Formats: sequence, C-alpha cells, structure tokens
Amino acid sequence: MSERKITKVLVANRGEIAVRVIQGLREMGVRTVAVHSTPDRTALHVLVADEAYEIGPAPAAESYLRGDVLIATAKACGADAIHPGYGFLSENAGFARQCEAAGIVFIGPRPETIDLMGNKLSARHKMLESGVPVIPGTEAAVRDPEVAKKAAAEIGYPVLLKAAAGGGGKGMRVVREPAEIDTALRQTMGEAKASFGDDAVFIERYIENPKHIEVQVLGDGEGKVIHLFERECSVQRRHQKVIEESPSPSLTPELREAICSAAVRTAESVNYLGAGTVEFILSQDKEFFFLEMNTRLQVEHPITEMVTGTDLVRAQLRIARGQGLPYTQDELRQRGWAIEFRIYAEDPAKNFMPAIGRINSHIAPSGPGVRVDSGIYEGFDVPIYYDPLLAKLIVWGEDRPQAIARGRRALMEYTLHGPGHNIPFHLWALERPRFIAGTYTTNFIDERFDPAEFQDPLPDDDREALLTAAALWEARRREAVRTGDSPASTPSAWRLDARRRMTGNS
Amino acid sequence: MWMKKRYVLDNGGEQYTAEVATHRDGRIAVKLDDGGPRDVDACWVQNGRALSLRVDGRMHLIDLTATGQRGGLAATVNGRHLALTVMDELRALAQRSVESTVAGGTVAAEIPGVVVSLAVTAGQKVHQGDAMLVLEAMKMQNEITAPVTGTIDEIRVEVGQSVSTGDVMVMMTAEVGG
Repeated sequence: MSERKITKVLVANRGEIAVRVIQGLREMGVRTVAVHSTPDRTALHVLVADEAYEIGPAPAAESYLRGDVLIATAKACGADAIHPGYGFLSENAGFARQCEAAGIVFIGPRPETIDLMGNKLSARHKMLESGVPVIPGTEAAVRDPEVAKKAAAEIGYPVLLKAAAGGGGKGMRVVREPAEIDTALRQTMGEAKASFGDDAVFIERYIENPKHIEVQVLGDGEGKVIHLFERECSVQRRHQKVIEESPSPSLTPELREAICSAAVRTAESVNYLGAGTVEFILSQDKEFFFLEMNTRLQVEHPITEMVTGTDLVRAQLRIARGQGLPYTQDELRQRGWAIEFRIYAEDPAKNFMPAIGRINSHIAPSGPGVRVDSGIYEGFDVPIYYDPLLAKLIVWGEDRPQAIARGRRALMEYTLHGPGHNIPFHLWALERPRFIAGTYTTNFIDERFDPAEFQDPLPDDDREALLTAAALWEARRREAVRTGDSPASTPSAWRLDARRRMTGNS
Repeated sequence: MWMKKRYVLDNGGEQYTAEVATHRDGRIAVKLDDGGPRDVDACWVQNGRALSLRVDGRMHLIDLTATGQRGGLAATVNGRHLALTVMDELRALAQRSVESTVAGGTVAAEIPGVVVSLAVTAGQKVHQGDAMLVLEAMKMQNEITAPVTGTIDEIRVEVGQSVSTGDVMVMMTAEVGG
C-alpha cells in the first residue's frame, strides 16, 4: 500500500472522544480541526483544537450527522482526513464513501466492511462462512409467525427476536413460549421498521445470564490482522456499558486464545482495515458466540491501551497513512489490569435519569495508574442534545485487586458538582461481592441495584465534618456579603484567622 | 468576644443545627445539635472551594460548591457526593410552616437582647435570608435574617433598644410565591 499524506485531520465528533483524538493527533504533529454545533461553541473539544468550524444548529441531525457539511468543511480548510470517533457517522458506509469520493481519507474501515458488519444478517452469514461460532438461529429474516414458531422450536426456547438493522438494545424481544411469538414478532417488526426503516427480524437462541466479551483488533487492509486481547463489558444498564475491564476475569488462557483467534478470523474474513472490535457473548457454560463487529474505535478503548501499552489513535493514523500495523502479534502482551468507569450525567438515585446543567466543580483524580478522559470543564453547561457521557475514569493496577482498590481510591477523590452523575453507582458496584469475584453478568445492575438503598448512611464523623463545613461556608458567605468581598478571590477573615492559628501568631 | 451564629442544615429532609462561634483572636468553635462546643482547626483551601478540617487530629477535606439555589450546597465528603441546604433558624421555621408566612408576618425576638445594628429600612425589598438586624444577647451577636422574600412594612426597634422574648422587631409582607 502506498503511503498517504495526513498532516491535518478533521475530527467529526464532540465530547471526550473528540478531545482524546485531538490529543493523540497533536502528539503526532498533526494539525487538528474541530467541528461544532451552535451551542457547542464553548465545548472542550472546540477549545483545544487548532482550528474549529461551526457546522449547524444543536440537533445532531443538522450538525454532527451532516456528512455533506463535514466534507465541505474538511475540503475548505485543507484537511487530508476525517476521524469519525464513535457514534455519529463512524459506522456510516455512505459517509465513508463520500469521503473517499472527495479525496479525503476516512480514518476507519472500507465502506464495504461497514455495510457488511452493520447488518446483523449479512455479518452472521459471513461468520458462518469463516467458521466463527454464531448463536444458533435463522439464516434469513422471518415474517410469517408460523415459520417463526417452527424455527423457534428447532432452536429451542427461550429465543430472542432481533431486528437485523438494530443496535443499542433497540428492536429486541425475548420469547419464552410459542404462544407469545405472534405478538412479539409483530411488535419487533414494527419497532424495527420505525427505528431503522427495515422490518427484517431474525430469531436466535436467547443466552441467559451471559457475559459480554469483546476483542480489539487492528488490520492493515492487506490481509494482516492482529488482536489486542479482550475486554469484558458485562456491567450494563439498558444494554449500555457502564464499567469495562481488561483482561476479562472470566477467561482461562485456552478460552482467551480461542476467542481472540475467532476475532482475528472475523477481521481477516473482511480483510479488515483500521481499528475494530469483535463482540462476543459468553454463556454460563463458557461457550462463546459472535455478536457483532464494531467498525470503529470504542468508548472503552483506553483499558486496552493501558493493559497492552499501546495508543490506538496513533495506530489508527499510522494504518490510515498506509504505514501498516505498528505492532506484531508477538510484541503484544497483557500487563496488569485496567478498569474503566463511564461517568454519565445521570442520577442513580433517580433510576439513572439523565441530568443536565452546569458543571460547577470538576476535580478529577490523579496519581499512580489513573487516567481521566474528559469532555467537560468547570462552568460548562451540559447540553441536552447529546450523549450524557461526561468523562471516563480509567485505572490500571498490577493485578485485579489492585485495580479495584485504585478505582475506589480514584472515585473517592473525584469531585463533580452540578448535574447528577453516577460516581456513587461505581463506588457501590466496586463493593459488590459479585463484582469483586468477577462473576457478574449482564444482569448485574437489574438484579442487584436498588436506587433507594444503594448508599449506606453517612458515617457520623463524616456527617459532622460536612455540617461543620457547611456552617462555616455559610458564615463566610455572609461575612463576604457584609464586607463586599468575594469569598473565592480574596482571603477571607476566616482563612486569615485559620492561618494565624496554624502559625501560632494569635 | 465571641460572635455566635446558628444555622439549620437540611440534608435530604434531615435537619441539623450548627452553631458557629468565632472569637476576635481567630478561634472557631462549632456546636452541632445538642453536642458540646468543639474547637475546630479549619482552613479554606483550593481558592476557597474546599475546607480542610482537623478534628482531634483527624483530617477531613470537604469540597463545597453553591448550587445556585438559595442556600443550596453541593458537597463531597470522603468520596460521597451530597446535597444540602443551609438556612438560618428563622428560615427553617418558615419552611416548616409555609402557610403561616405566605400572607406576611412578624419577626419577633426569640431571646431577650439589645439591637446593635439595623441593615434594613421600611419599604425595602428583601430576599429570604437577607440580614435585617443584629441582636446581641448573652454576649452573643445574632444575625436576624428575613424569613421570606418580601417587603419590610415597619421596623419597630431602634439601635440600642432592648427587647424581650416575643417582642415584634420587624413586620413584613411576603411576596406572593416568594
């Protein structure tokens, strides 16, 4: 493959991933271009980029999803490539094609690969062909309830009805007995049509209490594929991942070898180009099945970076430049343990209701083995239009117990005031015996979490400290109002007094 | 001389009282609920956004941020994120009997004392929690604040005047919805 010049990249995304991509590109001496909707003028990714252009109003459909505007912007500012991040247009084959046609490098796989993997049925066919285990199920879309009943009987109940074009947990229904099939099929088809414009539904065996394991792969587009081991993402809420770890506590070395080889086979079967993730479902009997392939960088990519000592954005750029894979399989090892905590603007005490508002305080943890990928800053108003992911806390430890202890330490150091968020949930999760044992499944939150009771009462000495601090805060505020001082900018009488006491000059 | 102020702190519906006493020489003592007064070593740090507390050698670092709502505070204590509302006793009282203050009301002395300063005049609009006067009682200066948002109708005391328990000091009309 001939090398392509990439010296300026437009990042077609927002939030923490846009910031992380910009940081990686900058380290490689690449000029960075941010794009933003009108309200995102002051979003962090815009502030840290070399150049930034407004691409439309707040709704994503009129800004971050406007492929034509993005390409025109890239051309106008002289960007050689577009990095799509995750979400938005990252898995849109049409957009990848338009980039190609416009002479702009799309940092991701070829459009045909996105098309093939984006459709569950075509991906499934490809896997069957390549000898990658798939969940037993129908090979074609099912529309007739009688056909559905026959298929379900062959597969064995419970079965899952699944929209071919679905994703993110939408368009799925569990059916436990034949009598339920008629209605369930009609509903799933209707939902599929409404959500994805395609009513194709297929039937597969429903795996009870599964684990979610995925494998990071890199391909050079010329037949060479390597894997960067697995991630376990079984802590999910409404099919959205919340905590991820690498390695997976559920794999034996043999199983790891088998699942990683299957992932490599998957990527090889489509002559994969760039960074991708092959997702598997692991049953209680330790059988694994292909779920889907995500043809982009994942939210949880940092845990792989921590454990393998790699930089996936750098790898993506090198591959896009036609410089090939930056590592050989033999060079890659899993060292230690990494856990990622997604910090969402959603309140666990209110059943994870999304929250918005101004970030009044953001004091992120630091210290050994701690990484925070954030898309926010103090004073930033979290907009209602986009994903509620504010930041990601990633910790690394020599082994799993240390990673858990470090996660707990870092979460306790984390201060985030403003919108409600799920840091208290993460602290709760780390205390659960099932999490500590590594035996949790995708039902972990549904089975164990009680919004009303997940937090212990505040210990007495902490409550006394809190009340004392609040009273002193109020006393200082009133003093400041009285004297016209701003408590934050001038040392108040309180602080001066305290200092005198500490130095013994009273 | 000690200057004392009492606050009511509401944490998720649970109310606590805290009495903060400060001395001219810089000493601070805090009394929580009915506990005894306790000398605290408190330092505002991080540009005044966090308080470092030392109690019997034990260290606490409390991050605090005003939420923007009156008296609203967000706090992080030992890894816990908490929300609380700070108010003075009168507001707490007012909150407990919202109905009785809607139409307006009187601010009466709760303890016998001497009015040492006045911060408001008749006709003035005040917000709930605004300082109205300082009442010195038992060598303690007590700030009396507006129990509700509204207008001052009449001030029935003068600086230097002695008052007894129950004496009406200020009459005011609450703003509708205030």
